Amino acid sequence: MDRVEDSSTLEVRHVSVQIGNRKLLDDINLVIKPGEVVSILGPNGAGKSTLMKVISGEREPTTGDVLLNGRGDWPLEQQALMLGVLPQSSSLSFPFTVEEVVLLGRIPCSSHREENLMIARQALEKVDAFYLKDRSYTTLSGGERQRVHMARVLAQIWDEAPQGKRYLLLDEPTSALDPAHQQLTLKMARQEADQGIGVMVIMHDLNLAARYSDRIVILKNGKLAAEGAPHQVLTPETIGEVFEIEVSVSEHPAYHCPLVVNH
Amino acid sequence: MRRSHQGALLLTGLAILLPVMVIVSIGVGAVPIPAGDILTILFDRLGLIHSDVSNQSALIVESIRLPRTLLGVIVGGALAVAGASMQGLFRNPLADPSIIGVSSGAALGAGIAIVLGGMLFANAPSLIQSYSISVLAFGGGVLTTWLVYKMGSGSNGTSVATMLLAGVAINALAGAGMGMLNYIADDTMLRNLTFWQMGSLGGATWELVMICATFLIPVMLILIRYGQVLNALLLGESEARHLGINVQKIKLTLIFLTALAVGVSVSVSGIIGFVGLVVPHLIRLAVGPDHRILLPASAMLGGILLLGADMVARTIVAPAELPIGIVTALMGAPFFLSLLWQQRKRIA
Repeated sequence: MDRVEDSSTLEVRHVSVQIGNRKLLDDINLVIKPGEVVSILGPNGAGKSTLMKVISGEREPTTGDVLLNGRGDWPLEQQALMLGVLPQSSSLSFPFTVEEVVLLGRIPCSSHREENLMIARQALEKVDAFYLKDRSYTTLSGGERQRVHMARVLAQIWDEAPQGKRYLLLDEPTSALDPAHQQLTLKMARQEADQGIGVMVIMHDLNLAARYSDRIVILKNGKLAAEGAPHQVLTPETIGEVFEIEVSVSEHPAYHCPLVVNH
Repeated sequence: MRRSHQGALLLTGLAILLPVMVIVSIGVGAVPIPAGDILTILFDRLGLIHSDVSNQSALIVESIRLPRTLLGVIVGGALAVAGASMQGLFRNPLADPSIIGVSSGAALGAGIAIVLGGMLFANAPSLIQSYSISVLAFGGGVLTTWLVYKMGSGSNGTSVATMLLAGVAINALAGAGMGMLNYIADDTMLRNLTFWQMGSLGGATWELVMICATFLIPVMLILIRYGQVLNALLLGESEARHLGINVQKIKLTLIFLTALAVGVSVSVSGIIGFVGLVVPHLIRLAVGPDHRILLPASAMLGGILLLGADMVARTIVAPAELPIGIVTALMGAPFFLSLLWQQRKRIA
């Protein structure tokens, strides 16, 4: 039993990705535990999306392994029950209704139609998009689409999986959202984590990351530049070194997390 | 009303309309045959009743109209299902076997079989000749589908412009090949080739119906089972993968099955264009893009539409007959243009 408990993580082991002479990722080690929110920060081209693709199995690493609950060779349809992935943008151009799009998230699950419909609606409520449910997806704005896909991914890993713990990978889930929905999305990521799901979020907003993450991982040029709790990582020195900007860091008056202010 | 209910309603309606169209199609022609007689003849042949309808009507139904009608139902359904599946695979509502060159690739294969095969095994039984045409048509279909897919696909689905241009190039290439075949063909072959290029159900025999039934009906049934997978593919290839679908394997399977459907259809009835474009589009307008409804509904509406077009082809210049490919092109091409017009901003 102990071994099973130990292996309930999403683990990236010595992962490198090389194209020609260019190393997109260089010996990355990372563990995401159920129940925590881990933010991945880093300048453009640091390898954040490549890391996400390696973890989701979309891209084979040149060397290294990704272990999902201790295994690196899950059949795709079983992996889908444990790992939900929200891509940066989606190319759906057929006029499904919003509800139909969210229901697509239930494809890997073996539940009944009525149950799927109930889950899809609850997922839409969670992302504050229930009122859109009968709209055609193609008529939505960018931010609305992002929330609908978020609901789809939530619906996908809604039920506990018999194979093991569940994980959620979010690639810039807040990029197209207004401030209110940015907060809502990350609050929701936090809630999912509190229910035992491991969440990894790629972000650019340092303050959102500071407020909602348990841990922050910073990538630069394919290497792990820093890792730790927000107050350990978000220091003027580290930020200056990685992002090449000058900032001051103080304490957030209400949430007591680091507050980063640009100079 | 919810879309799933609308879908069920549509499927029921089409399931009623299809047999009605079959009866009408058998009845229409130089010698009109009343529906009552048709039913009597059919039931008699099935051994259900004993009939006394005139021998002439029975003969017309049995050896001319029934095989032609069945061929139309099966080919129309197969072309529509292949079109709908291709549109799902390409994530692009403008993909149609005839527009992107798959049909002409298949026709070139069929042409090679007619001209060169005709020279090689002139004395072989006609069944072998028919099958060799089907096999080469299928080969041409697979090759062109794969080529267009490779040319047009990127990370965001296929580019409409690239796909259409690839179609232009392939159509030109196949046209040149056909021209060469015309040049070396004798008179009989030439007539056959012309027939293939314009499309017709006029060559229907029970033999061809059997070829269609053995290939096309299973292919349609298998494609229909891919409904939910095609829905997931519409999200994008990586999204479909995250939903647990083996995208690479599915793509190859779909290319194989759609090319088989188009190749066999072309080998029995020539190039009948635009059915695969118009039918799925009409159904999407009515009940949305869910392939679980779209595919079976396309199978039925494709049959219905092609029977309608065939009746026009048979009657409009009676006692002569228009190639059905001309009728579907006259209906389908303006439809295609209007779709292009609507989407011109997105394509540019």
